[in-house]
Amino acid sequence: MTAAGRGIRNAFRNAVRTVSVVLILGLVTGLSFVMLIANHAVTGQVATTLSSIGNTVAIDPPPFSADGQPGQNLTTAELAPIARLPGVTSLDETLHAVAEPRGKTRNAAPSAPARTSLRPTSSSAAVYFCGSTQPANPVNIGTSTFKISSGHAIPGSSPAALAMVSTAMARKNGLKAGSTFTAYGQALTVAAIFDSDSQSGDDTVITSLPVLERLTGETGQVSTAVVTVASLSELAATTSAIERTLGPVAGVTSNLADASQAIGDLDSVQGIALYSLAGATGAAVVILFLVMVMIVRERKREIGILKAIGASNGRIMAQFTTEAATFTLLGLVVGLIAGTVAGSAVTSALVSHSGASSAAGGTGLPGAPSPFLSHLTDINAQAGWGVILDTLAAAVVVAVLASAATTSMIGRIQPAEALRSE
Amino acid sequence: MLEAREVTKSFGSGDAIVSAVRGVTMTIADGEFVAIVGRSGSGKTTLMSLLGALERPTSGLIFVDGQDITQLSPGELVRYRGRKIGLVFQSYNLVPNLTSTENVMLPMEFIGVAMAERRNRARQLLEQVELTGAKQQRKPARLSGGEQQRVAIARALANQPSIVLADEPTGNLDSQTSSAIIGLLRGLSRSEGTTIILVTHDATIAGQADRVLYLRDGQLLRATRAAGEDAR
Repeated sequence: MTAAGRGIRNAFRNAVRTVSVVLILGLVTGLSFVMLIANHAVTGQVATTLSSIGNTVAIDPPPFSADGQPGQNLTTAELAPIARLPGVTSLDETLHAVAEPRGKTRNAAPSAPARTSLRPTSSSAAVYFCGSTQPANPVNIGTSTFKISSGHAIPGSSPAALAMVSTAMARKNGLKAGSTFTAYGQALTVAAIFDSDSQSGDDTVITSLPVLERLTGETGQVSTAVVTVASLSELAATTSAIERTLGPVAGVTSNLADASQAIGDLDSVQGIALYSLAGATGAAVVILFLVMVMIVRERKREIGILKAIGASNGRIMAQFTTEAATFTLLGLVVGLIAGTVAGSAVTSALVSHSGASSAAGGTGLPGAPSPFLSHLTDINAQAGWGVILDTLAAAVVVAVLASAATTSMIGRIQPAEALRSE
Repeated sequence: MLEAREVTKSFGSGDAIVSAVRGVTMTIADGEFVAIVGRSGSGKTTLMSLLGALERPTSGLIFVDGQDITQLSPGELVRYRGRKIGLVFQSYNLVPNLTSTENVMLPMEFIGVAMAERRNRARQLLEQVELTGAKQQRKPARLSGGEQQRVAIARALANQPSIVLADEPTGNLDSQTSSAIIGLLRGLSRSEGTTIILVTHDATIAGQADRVLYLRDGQLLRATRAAGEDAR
């Protein structure tokens, strides 16, 4: 038998004590494990949320002007300085328009909308047109996916009378790439057919910005613009710069403020998890240290005997370190089981009691949450291998620290103790 | 040969210094069976721990085979105890959760003997002290006092020490078992040439030694041959 073998066997020397120590260490390890799970889950969710924010800033005309009149479109001239701001990598300008579908009784009023030969895919009374400098940007037509199924995407600056229609619109109107239709009294050629995942996307015809300006006669007009910033870290500064540049003529919004609030609340959950982890690990060290002190004092005579018959301090310390490691390992197993069972529930409880829940609209308070925050509290707390390895590392630290503290006690015991206690 | 020169061991500090051993000088030849006799508190056990290098003397020198063990480093003391000294205690001091065989194997593990070799030697030693069969695999709690002391003696002999120090080895045993244990030690002294130093307060036990050293208040009073001849 080796020193390690004796250490393992000694861990089971007193069954009642072994069960008690393992249960206590198991509870503490379980708490550490749960906190690690929560920390990893929240960290992952924060990263996902930040990546979903997107480094974009939306610029829209105000709904009403200062004198209470409906807000006017922006102009390309007003937006021109934005493209030159530091951190801005692209400026996507979009013009929206509406046309009456084919077959609808024509409104004779001068302000009646223009007509198109297309029929909408739904019961909608209109066909929507979107002219953009980035025609393939799904945000422009209110869809999250944009995939061309036939034909080729049109360039955003092209004056050619080309358009892209949805698969549903093409089917409804018997169109394919190369077909033509009319809008605003002019013929447009279908350059591409795309798939979207929303009704608004299906009912929208996409053209380049110059083409829609020409069709509608609204040259230099922009309904909305989206600025892409070089990085998420520059988003706040660039948003401020855009607000300063445009002044009251436009509303400038990014999701950063909402996200910062929600993520700040998740950060507090992370903080709680980390402090609890440190506390639980510290408690485990103290518990195991006290147990080992008790055991060393109890076996003082036995240690003296081992020294008297030729055992070195190192060999005896190895034996006791193995004993402490055995307790820790058993506690780790109990803790992993308990933590796996409770990890998800505890994480959900921590998150739901943080402000992140309300930031995501989870409390049912009035006001729609930002779309990208709606899943903020849907945290999937799972015990991955990374968490298990971190817990194992923490357990090793606990065993080493607790047994290291007893080594000085072992070193001070004299072999003559074996005779003195006779 | 073991030689002690003016060995003193004091405990405490300031005015409360107590000298457990005071200026002991003696020589013990190889293979000699010596009994140290004295009342309780006379310093027998302290002298034993000094000779076994379990602690250092306050002053004086102790030579074992010409080497002054009082000058050894802590690491050298561990090796000295492991290879040169065998210890037998009154209350056996076996490790309770190890079997008889595993207890005997312990000192061999400490000096690096291979597992198979130490298992074989432990079995042989236990048979030598007449502990055979299933008793070799029993833990101390399931052995009688005499059997436990036999295991302790086998453990003391595991590394073929040149000196066996036995502190009241029969103190907890009946007279018949005591006689058998002393016979065992004396036989070892004769057959293996091992020096046996036995601490006892039992005159009958001491009478079986080659020489008896009398200790009182930490001082060596006189030495006698077993037959009663004054050796000093």
